[in-house]
Amino acid sequence: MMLEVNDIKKIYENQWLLKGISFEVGQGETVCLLGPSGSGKSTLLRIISGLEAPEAGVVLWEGNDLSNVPVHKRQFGVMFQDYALFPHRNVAENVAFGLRMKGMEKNEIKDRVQEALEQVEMQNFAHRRVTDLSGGEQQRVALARALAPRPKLLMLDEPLGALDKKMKDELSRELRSLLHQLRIPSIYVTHDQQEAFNIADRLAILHEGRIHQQGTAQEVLAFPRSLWLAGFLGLDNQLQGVVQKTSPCQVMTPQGLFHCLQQGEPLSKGQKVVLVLKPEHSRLIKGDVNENVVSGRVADVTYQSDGFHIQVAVAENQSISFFSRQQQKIDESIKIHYPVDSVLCYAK
Amino acid sequence: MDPGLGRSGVKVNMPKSAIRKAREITARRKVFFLWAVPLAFLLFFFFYPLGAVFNLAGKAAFARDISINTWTRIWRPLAFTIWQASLSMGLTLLVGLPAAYLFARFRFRGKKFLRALTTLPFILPTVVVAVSFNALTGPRGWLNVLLMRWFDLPTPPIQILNSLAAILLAHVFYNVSVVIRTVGSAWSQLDPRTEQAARVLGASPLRVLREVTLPLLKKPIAAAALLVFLFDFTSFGVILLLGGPRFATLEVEIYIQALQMLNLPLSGLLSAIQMVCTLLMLILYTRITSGQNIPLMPRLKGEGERSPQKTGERIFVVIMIVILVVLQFFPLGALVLRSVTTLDANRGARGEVDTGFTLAYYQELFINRRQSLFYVPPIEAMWNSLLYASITVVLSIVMGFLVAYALNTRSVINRALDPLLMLPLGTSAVTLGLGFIVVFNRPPVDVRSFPLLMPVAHSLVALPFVVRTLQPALSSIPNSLRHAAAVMGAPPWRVWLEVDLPILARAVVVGAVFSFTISLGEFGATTFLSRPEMPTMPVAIFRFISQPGALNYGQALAMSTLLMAVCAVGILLMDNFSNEL
Repeated sequence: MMLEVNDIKKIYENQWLLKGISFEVGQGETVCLLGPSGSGKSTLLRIISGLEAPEAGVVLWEGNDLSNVPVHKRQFGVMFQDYALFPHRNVAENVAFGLRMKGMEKNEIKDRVQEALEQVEMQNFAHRRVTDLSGGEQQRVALARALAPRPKLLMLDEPLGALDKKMKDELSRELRSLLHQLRIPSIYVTHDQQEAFNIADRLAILHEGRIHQQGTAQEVLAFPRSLWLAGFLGLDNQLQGVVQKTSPCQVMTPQGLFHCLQQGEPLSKGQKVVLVLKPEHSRLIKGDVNENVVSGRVADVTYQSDGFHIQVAVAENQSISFFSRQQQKIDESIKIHYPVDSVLCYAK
Repeated sequence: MDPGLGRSGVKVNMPKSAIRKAREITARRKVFFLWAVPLAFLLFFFFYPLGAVFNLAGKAAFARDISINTWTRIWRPLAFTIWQASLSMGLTLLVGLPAAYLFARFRFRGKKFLRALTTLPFILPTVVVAVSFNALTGPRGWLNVLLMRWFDLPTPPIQILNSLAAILLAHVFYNVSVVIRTVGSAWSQLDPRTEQAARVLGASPLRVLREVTLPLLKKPIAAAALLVFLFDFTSFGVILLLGGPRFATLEVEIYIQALQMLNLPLSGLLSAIQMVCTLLMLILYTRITSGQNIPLMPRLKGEGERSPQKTGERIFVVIMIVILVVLQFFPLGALVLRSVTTLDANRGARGEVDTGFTLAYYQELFINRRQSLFYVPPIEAMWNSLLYASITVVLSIVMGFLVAYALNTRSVINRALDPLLMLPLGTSAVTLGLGFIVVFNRPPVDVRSFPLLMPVAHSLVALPFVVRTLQPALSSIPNSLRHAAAVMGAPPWRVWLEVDLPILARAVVVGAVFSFTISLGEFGATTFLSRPEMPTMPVAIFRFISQPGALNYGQALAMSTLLMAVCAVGILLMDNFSNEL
């Protein structure tokens, strides 16, 4: 493990913002810190880079405590939200900054700057003013600047925040391949889960001052630890119910009985719970199945490039989203089956 | 031609450009009417006297008896003016830049109070500032009194008055707030992440300052420095009252030549030279401040600020706060305290002094003693000041309204006339006073009616400020409000009364207080125009402080404290009202 963050605590505006953050980043790994806005992700990055000191906890690099190492000696790279490019210098001078601080020879600097710009495909922009660049171009320059001094660790703070969707997708794929190519341990901070899934090797979900869950994207998405996380990840198809049996878990809902997988704390019979219906392996059925089935009327159908998004009204004020390759008719009765592995049960 | 109209079958002969032209002509007429009175005012009371001064200058410059002597008499004050202004600017920056850093990057208790404290000196009348420094560092001031008592000294040890040091100190006192405001606000708008990026890339804090912060602040610092230089260059009251007879800047020399040497042509020549210098500086200033290309990202208020964490930072904050408090507060505090303290010389022991609390100086203001310098009790000077200030308010508000309404209408006339309005600001008040006494000393007007001209001079100085306060408020009133009122049956005068006036009320109050305080404290032009039988407060203070005797000294202090109190109240009022503008 290269970077170890141990039990970091931080107060912000008289309240505990970070209540004990611990995670690790290994060689060549990209860890994504995912969390809602205001959860302290940027603060955590500042603590790791040394720009701020925590109330408690340590940051270790290769086992060494960094508490007494000032910012400018840590040799970490940071790519800031809003890029923070030096407006009074051009592109090449921006990228060269870190190299100048290292005391490199002028010729070496020139070569390295060229290399870094080529990596982000900005080599023709060397003498442009940074204020003349578009958002996407500025972002690449900021990346080149952070990478040029060959940092030991790279931190990216919502780097794609200011871009439109197309740019985001394109650049997140480029970033992913670049990071893997360079094998630099990286921490990528964002509130956008799609971005996180695209780029990360591992996710660390930040919630209420702690790491809520860690794991690969598949692991986290398959079994989110809490109802909150399920909602955050966009699993909005939820049903209320009452526990009938505890192992294996069976829950009775207004839609009928469901066999499900229990998540989180152990449940007891008669307990009120919420079922999260995951889209994996769900399918339309006809016929007389009435367990693990949601039935309702088609309320709305929206066309998407690879299928249809179907809104199904299942009760007075509740609807379920469903994705199908085939178009459905509005007001038609519809039944959707969810296998056991796709139904998660959480205490309310 | 607008094809749309043609197609509907209605014959319309007017092309769009003609409609636009017709609108412009109506606007032009309205604007012209609005500008008429203020423009006449400016022409008669500003350009005419100014022209007379230039005329004098011309006569002096091409006079037959011009000699090397004359040019020496010009060169010496000019050289000294540049010299003291440069020194003052340097010292002000020395204190002001760290202070700007303090305000831009740190959060600490009492910050708002300290900020208000640093703004106060800037709007105080020069006489008050001069007397405050006298009260602190003068031979009868606190420092000397206390030192003499504690160390049993026979003579005042600190002889800072009537020296260059006193002038420089007072200038720094005055102008630190300019640097704090200009540079401080630009600094606080710098994206702190730019500096953080530099740090992460390996720059030590000092390097960050050198490579990132200062280059980005080049323009605001240059602008602030130039502004401070300009204020120091045109400084009058401070030099006269704290420098004493040995030091003469251009302004002081103009005053001396005109009123004491009765050498009007030379005075005019000096004025002309001064105006040329000021004009050059103003041009340079506009050059520097135009085209700000620092990307100012919209920042949350106070985003770049943090509480001092490291020991080094804490020490810095404490030291800066102490310096600022000492610099800005001590003189004023000394003034107030000194005005209520007696220092009776103990008849027996030499140099020993008794102190005691007294209101005698204030009471004296209402009495007229036979050996008083005036034919009237000092309290009358206060009434005069208040009278002049009231007239100034009326004049400047009325004309301010006219000009504000004119500027609010789109017309080319405005572009030509608007800069004219700003000129009195760039002209020294002393030159204005000189112009007045040259021009208005002919029948039917003569020396005795000079006092009537004082509100005029004050209004000239106050008018730009009033306009700059009224006009933004006026332009914020959407026309739809007036239209709504009219549709609901209000005649034009009623619309103005019900819509414009209530919305402008706050701006009017701010403008009124502004012009009131400017008038109260005006010293430069007033010294030219005041008569012994109708003095104003600043003039009275000047006379009192220049005379020996504890009573005279005390009265000067008492009056200064009153003047300071009125100005401070005025500033508080303005701040209060303008925050909700």
